[in-house]
Amino acid sequence: MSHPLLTARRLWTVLGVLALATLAVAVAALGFGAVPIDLGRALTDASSTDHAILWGHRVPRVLAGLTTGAVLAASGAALQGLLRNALADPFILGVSGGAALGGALVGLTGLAAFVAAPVGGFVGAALALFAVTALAARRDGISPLHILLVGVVVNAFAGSMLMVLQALAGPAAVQRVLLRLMGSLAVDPTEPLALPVVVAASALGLALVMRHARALDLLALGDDGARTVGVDPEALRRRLFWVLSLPIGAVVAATGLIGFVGLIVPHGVRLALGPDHRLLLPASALAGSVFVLLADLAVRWLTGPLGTELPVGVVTTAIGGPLFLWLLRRDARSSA
Amino acid sequence: MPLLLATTRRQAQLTRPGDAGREGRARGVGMHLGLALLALTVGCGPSAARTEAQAGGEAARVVSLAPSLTQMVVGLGRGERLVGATRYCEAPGVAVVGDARPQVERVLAARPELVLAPRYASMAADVAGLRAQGLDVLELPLESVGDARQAMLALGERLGAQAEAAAMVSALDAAMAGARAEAQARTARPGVLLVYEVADGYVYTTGGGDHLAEVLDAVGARNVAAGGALTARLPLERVEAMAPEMIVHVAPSARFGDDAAALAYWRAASPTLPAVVKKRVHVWPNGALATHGPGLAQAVARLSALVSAAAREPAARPAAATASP
Repeated sequence: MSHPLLTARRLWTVLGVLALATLAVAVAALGFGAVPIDLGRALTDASSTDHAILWGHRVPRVLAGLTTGAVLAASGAALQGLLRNALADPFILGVSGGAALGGALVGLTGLAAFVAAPVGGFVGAALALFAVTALAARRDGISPLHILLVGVVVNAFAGSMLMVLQALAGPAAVQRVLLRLMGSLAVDPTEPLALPVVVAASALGLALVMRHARALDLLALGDDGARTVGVDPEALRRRLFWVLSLPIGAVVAATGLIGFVGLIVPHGVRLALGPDHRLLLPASALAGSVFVLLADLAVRWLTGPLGTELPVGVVTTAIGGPLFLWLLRRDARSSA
Repeated sequence: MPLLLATTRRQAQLTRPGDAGREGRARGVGMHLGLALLALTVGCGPSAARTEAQAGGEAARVVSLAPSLTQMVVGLGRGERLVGATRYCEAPGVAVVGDARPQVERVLAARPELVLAPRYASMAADVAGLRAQGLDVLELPLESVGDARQAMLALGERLGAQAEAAAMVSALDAAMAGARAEAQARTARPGVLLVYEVADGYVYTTGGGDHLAEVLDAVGARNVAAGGALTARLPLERVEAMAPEMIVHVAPSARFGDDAAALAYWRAASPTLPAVVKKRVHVWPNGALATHGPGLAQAVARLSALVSAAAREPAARPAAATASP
């Protein structure tokens, strides 16, 4: 599919439309939840239950959803460009698993400080990302299938390490960590600094990734082609792996494992808008926010009939899993 | 731990008995093979265990696979007969033979004459495996207060403590009857939120179908989460709308060791809840309320007193119309 050339006008028009869509979904997510509230009363009557629900629970949750969706989708887009692999995604490559393990390790050591889990997640994500790419690298580059298999192994390793922690740690600590890993956007109001830390880490990470949008485009020429136009592929990958580990680690440590956002959103955006990373990255971030907020709205709506809230990852995986299989089959056919 | 126990119960309820039976049979073949090898390695063969078991007789060596059953054995004055218990049981000096599921090797090594197991679908295959080794397994349902009564009487029978069991059941019956009488004397039914755990902006509570719902009903309280799943995971905004007049953490935890710690949390999380405004946030000092042991009678009496106190004062703000989960 051919796409029109990216101009400043097209860039800002598309991003403006997506920003409006994000705003609309965010407002819907503020107004609709586990219980109906009157937004007017919530904004004007500070003593009302609606006010307590809106400001104490729903606003932080929507912010968490916006951040999580933006980070996972934009990271997926960046990883797909970096590895020139349409199936790259933080969840599939084991990066989210590494972040979860890092966050859990820190949590089980008793470090309760609000920065502890995001730092653990960052270290875990970085180690997983470097491990996956190092193990998948071959003389002729990184094959798409090879890196997926290595991602499966890293995910399995992270999962087994979590089980080891479960066996060794006390039941209460394990319970706390496992509950967090289930993948949810609710924010603990007794940790008021946790969300700002995650948002700041995410904003910083995404801003740094955006600075490399043009280099990611040039990487599409292949490593040799990129070198001829002044881009050092190895240095770029190393730098962006560190940069991407920051927001992925922070988000996964805070919201748990929410799968496939980084796969399906960039794919949809690339199909609709083209592969230019100057547009793809911010558009994926906005579309990712919309996708995660909609998935969260679905689980909140389902709480009524089910009597309990499902992890938001259930919805994202239900959509992303089949799509992943379809992409895998399509890639296998095209390479045959 | 209370959440872990609740989750095990949920698995038991969600798995249909027929499914559990099929699952048990399918896993049974592999398990039997494993157990045969296991018997050789631990030097404690099934035949040895079988010869010591006196099916239906008074057991001198007992393994318990549930905290409630362990509490009952101790409450019946037969604690010295315990030779194995789970990681979650309060049985100092007794060998640990498993956690949510038993480790068959450890159970065999304890050479029990009687194994006490809760009737959970999630444990059906383990129980079948233990029975295949010739062990005498007494399986007891542990859902309702009636189940607790039956379990006490059955244990009294098998441990030669019929009189103690009858006294235990009488105490429980008296506590339930006393609570019902007190509840009938008043019209207000305060809304109570029972909390297994609070984590990351979610409350894990009971939606009904277990002994806690029965106890709440007996003491004249309204379960604000009634109608939800057996172990319901609810966001705090839903709790805001439920506006409970009393919050009860059903067991102490590292984070919520006492009432003050729990109140401090709820003040930060949902300061306008009636229960928080009225300082009616309680942490149960032990596992008596969450389990089916002999301490349940005392727990019912204490909960009844707390609910009566809450009923005397009206709620600080009305519950939202959409409070049910």
